[in-house]
Amino acid sequence: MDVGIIFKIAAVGILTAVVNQVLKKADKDEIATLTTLAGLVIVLLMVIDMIAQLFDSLKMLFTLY
Amino acid sequence: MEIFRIAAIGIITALCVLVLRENRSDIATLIGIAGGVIILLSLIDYFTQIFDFLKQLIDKAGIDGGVIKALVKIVGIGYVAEFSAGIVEESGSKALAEKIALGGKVIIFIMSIPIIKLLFEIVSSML
Repeated sequence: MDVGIIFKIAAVGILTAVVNQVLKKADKDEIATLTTLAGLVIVLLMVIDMIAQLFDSLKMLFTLY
Repeated sequence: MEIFRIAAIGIITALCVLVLRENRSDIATLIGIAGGVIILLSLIDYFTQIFDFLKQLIDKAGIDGGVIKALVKIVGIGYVAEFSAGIVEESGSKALAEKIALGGKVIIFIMSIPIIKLLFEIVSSML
């Protein structure tokens, strides 16, 4: 749980952006939108996992259950 | 020192958001959220120390535990509501953030009703 995760997410974002441009140039627009979605889903999974972990620790801390 | 680590994470997150803002604004907001979550997670163990210290003080003072437990819950609910309202507002939808904040207020008020009742009983028993 450190800066590494932010770099990972940024890498996925930049990668999808590049792949998107490449596919657009090769006029395969439908695949481009798919890769955009795929990148978004991967990043979403990572972030949602972190938020779940945060909410669990908050629940423990404030005895919210 | 912990503060340098938090500052570094914040600055790096802000830069990554800037890098990705123009062509991938959705992932940029997600990076913003992730940075916020990392900073909070590193602060969690400080919170536990603070709460343990407060509990010792309260046990010494002999205040009724039930009220304190409700107070801690209210603080927690308030914080979670404010945190998620901030995320939603940062991603652009202000009206939704206000609705989350309203939900938090309502839940906090519901939880404070027994405390208010307790207060009235104490006051009326004194009169």
